[in-house]
Amino acid sequence: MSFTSRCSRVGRSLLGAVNTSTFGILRASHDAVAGSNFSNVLFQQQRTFIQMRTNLKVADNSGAKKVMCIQVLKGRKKGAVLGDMIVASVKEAFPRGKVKKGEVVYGIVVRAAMKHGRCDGSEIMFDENAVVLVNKQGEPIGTRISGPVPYELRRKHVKILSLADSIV
Amino acid sequence: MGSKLLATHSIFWITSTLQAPHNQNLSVSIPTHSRCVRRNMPSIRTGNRVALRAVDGAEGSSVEIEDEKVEDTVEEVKPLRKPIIKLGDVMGILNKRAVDAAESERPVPDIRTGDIVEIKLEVPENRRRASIYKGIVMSRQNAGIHTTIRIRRIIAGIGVEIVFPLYSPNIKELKVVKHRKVRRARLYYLRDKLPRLSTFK
Repeated sequence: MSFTSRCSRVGRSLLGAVNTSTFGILRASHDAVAGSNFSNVLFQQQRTFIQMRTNLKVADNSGAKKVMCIQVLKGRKKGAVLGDMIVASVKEAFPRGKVKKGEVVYGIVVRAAMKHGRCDGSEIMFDENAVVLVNKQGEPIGTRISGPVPYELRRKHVKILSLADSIV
Repeated sequence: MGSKLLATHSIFWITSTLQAPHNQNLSVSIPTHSRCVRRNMPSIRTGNRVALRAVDGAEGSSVEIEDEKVEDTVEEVKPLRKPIIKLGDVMGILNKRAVDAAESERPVPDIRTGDIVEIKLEVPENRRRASIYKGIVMSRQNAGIHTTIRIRRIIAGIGVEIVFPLYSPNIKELKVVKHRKVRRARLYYLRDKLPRLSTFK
């Protein structure tokens, strides 16, 4: 979770919380809450692109639990969105899996917290960022996928769609 | 015998004779442009009550006018001046037209924050059976034709929020299943709450 989203959760218990230096800034702005815009920005969630250093959850049974994005392959300057391929480094893994901790893998973003617009004017956003590990060609390493998957993947990643249990 | 009176603009006839007995009502039709009436008024016995009826030949509407006080002023009603459409009204008018066109094809029920709705969506690129989305309405943003509602639901353990435009032609069915009492217009607090609160069977 990013710093800003963590702050929004803790914000309510600020006054009674144990003080640490990191939350000092927030406390000062919380006092001036009435007219100040600055405090609102910190309390709201900032949902943006998936970029370098973004931690993502792994949605399949390939053995990894958490990965961190190293590179966005789409060519988009700002970052990856739903359906893009990224290069990631495995940060946390199950003991006996197909991938080990520290490996560099490719992944397809299947759930993004940032809203993704569709052609009919609707938008979709998830509560978390998740990725499915694939090989260079785009075929998934794992055999099962957990959680919902958007139908934006229908274009290029049909295999992932067929493994998913619910398509949103 | 009735006496026929000439009238330039409309039909004129006396429905019962002038020599009627005392108590009977006489109905006389006189033209709406009644400038000629006073001159051509038949001599009516004062004892009889006369009900004059003016029949406009073209429209067939009838106006009852009292005997002596035949007003001269029943002129044609001027059509109301159309209000000038200002530049600032244009978007509002266009939006209203678009909304009316969408409503005539598929009437949209009144949806408010806190309703638990079920939406049947048919997207051409999905190509399969219409997908069903169920969830609680977190917010409603009014913007003319792009009025949207945001639906939240926990699907397979992960919270999903989808924004639907209400007047989209892709929405085949939209119905309110239940209602939950909420004291907010936007339920963004549901994101921080337990998943149990956003789960709908």
